[in-house]
Amino acid sequence: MNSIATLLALSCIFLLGSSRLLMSIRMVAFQGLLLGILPLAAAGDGHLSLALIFLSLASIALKSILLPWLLNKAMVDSGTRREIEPFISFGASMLLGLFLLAVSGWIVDKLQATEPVPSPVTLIAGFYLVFSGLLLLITRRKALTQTLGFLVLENGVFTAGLSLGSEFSVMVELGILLDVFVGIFLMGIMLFHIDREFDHLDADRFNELSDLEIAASPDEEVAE
Amino acid sequence: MQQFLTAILVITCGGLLAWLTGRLKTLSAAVGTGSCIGGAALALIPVTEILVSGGQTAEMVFNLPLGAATLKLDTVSAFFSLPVIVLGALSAIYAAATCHHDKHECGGYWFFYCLLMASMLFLTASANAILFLMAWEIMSVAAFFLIIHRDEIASARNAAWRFLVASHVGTAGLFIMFAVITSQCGSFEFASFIRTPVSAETASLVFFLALFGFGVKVGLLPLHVWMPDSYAFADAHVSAVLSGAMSKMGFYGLVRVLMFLPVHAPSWGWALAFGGLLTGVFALITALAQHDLKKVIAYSSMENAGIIMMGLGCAVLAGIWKVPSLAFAALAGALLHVLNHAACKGLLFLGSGAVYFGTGTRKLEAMGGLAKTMPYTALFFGIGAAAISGLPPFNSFISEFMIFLSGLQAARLGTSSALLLAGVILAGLGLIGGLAMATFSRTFGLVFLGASRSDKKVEPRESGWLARLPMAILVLAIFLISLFSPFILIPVTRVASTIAAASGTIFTQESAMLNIQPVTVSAAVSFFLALFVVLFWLIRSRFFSAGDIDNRCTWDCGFAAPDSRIQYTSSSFSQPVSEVFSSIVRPYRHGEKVAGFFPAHASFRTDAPDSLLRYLYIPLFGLIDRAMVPLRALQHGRLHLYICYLAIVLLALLIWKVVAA
Repeated sequence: MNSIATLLALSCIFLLGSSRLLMSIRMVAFQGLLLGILPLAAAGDGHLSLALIFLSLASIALKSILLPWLLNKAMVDSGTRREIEPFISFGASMLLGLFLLAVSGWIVDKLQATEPVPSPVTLIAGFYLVFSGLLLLITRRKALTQTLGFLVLENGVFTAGLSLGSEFSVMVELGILLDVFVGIFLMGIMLFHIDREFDHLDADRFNELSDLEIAASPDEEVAE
Repeated sequence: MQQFLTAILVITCGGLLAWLTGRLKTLSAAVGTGSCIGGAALALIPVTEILVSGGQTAEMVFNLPLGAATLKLDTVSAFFSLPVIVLGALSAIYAAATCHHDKHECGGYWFFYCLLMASMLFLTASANAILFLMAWEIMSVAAFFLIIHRDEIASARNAAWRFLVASHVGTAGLFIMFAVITSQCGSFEFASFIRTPVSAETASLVFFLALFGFGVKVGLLPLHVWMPDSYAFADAHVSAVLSGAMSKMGFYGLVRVLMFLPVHAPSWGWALAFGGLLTGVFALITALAQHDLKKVIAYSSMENAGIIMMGLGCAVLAGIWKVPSLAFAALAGALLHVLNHAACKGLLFLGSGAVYFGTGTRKLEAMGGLAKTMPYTALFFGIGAAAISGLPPFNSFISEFMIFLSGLQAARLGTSSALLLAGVILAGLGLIGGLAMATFSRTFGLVFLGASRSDKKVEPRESGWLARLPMAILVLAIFLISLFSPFILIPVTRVASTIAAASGTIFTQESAMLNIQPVTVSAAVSFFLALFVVLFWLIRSRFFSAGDIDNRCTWDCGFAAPDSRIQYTSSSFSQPVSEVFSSIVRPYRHGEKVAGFFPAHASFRTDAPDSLLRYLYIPLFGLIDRAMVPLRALQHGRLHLYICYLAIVLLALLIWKVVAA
């Protein structure tokens, strides 16, 4: 279980440093695969139930096959290949990511002082996934990367929930899965339409729609 | 209860169907009207059963995620659902008759109309704070969409937004109020509110929050600013429902809250009595200076709210002083006035709609002489205007008379506070009655009498029979209430005793009879008065042949070639009264001075926007707006930074929590 958590954290650092969208999507798919295995690892050998296996399979099918395929399609259709000029450079965001990893470690450490956590490494990974998902959402220009950020965030919530060892019900997790699926599906459709209407997927330029008067500064007029 | 709920369901489903069939105007109108009438008929059965036979209340318990929720139809809710049922159905007929004037697709319009009616019925039946607030909110939102229907007009949009803001501010007060009560008794059920004893301070807090929250809907003095504009810009039948039924929901809520709190404080009664007095007087002196027909009627609806509030205040005080007969007169008068006002105001708003469709304007300056071209509307409007001014043979007279009686009884109590109350009621009602007469004689005279002031040479048309039908029914209702008031007072007595019993005041037979007797006398006098009028009318038409009647210009003042410009205008008619109150109303005066012996051109016009809006709310909100300017930098429309705010707050909270732990 700890090794899976470590892999999750590593994949996040990779995500923060990668500019190629295709690689990012694959990395998120890889995360989905890891998350699929995680409940099985958490349950241990003796407690494997049919429902748990179903959940794991559904999670893998959704997060590492269906959604990546959808995002891939959106990427190919929009012709966006790379994340250009993030608000914080890739190197800096990797460094920030490491800092956030430290923060997560510190938080979990503090938490452990009050209440014992069954698997601290997984909880650190969970926090870290949430933080780096938020970081992706904040620092990237392309709506596609933001969708990935949202997925990572959700993965983090899933991991954190799992690490607390609470009696999570399969129905609840399935419900969340469905929620995420619908969310990403809608985002995929929206990305397609946004690309058709605006001819770009730059989330920082979406406020062209807004009726607020905002003077666009020249440096925002970055071409593809 | 099942019947009542079925009625609500029928109306809601009818609204949905009307929405779906919105493209076919006639079908949509037929579905909407049909469901409103059907639902009203269905709901009327249990309501009349409860009101007439009394006693048995229907109850139904639902299991919601937040615990059990009760729907209950007792005499009070049945009484207050009566205006909704009657006005809802009649206004729907009127809407169907006039919807061909509408350029827009009206599917959504019907949907919200049905939703408004259904939510008001649901509101009266809900005996649970959460259901109540839900119904209240749906009601406000549906009303908002009805007002904003003419959204191509900027002022209509403004009016609707103002309504939405005002009603949400009021709802916020209600939320706090219910939160306070619930924190005391740990349940959202009204039944448990009644059982739980609360301290005097909490009770006062609850009452004043309720007065604030419901006062917005009712049009209590500083909270009325949404009212004139919203009623003016909504369509006639919508204003009829808003004024006749929706604002009554505010009184319903207020009465309910009074029932929750068994021990009343004198300050509540004084707040209601003085609030009502100020509301009534302010409304009428502002109404006198208005030039928009519907605004005049809107202000008058505020005035009537003031009268009802004075009655309620007197009843609260009488309950504290333990004078049942006084409490009865005030409470029964206030309740009867709710019905009367609903009937009169419905009639007047529908009449104003007919005038608008006939002339194409709401401006009093452009009207005049409509009695000749629109005789039915003139007759109906005249009856409505006379009734709402509280003139003797009509229904409002009886309810105002009862409140007046309570004032007289208070005067006989002898204590100084009772004398003050008597002064407030007697002098207040006198002043309000006189001003109401002035307002409505001005309105009726300007619209229907004299000659047309309009330059347009288009002949106004009388509305069709279907549009006249609801008005005729309302006129009939006015006559029925006027003539049979002693009988109508029997169910009203029942409602009043239910309300008063909650605070421990028991009406004996004699305390009721003491007040019903004069009403019976006045009803008999009204009957004979009406008989005489009809008789004289018959004599007049019998003995004057058509040749004797001379059709000449009204107000010709001895001029050789009179012209419509020498008539009173809306400004000049109200000038003597407006002048007295000009320090409060503060009208704008436009026009140039008349100079020389033969002035070639002169004009004069006054304009009186609501003074509270002008001197209180606009500066206040302007100040808030300016204070908020620096914060606007935070709202720049950049998605990334918004997410960044969220992330920072979340992280800070997490770290704070961890460090604190």
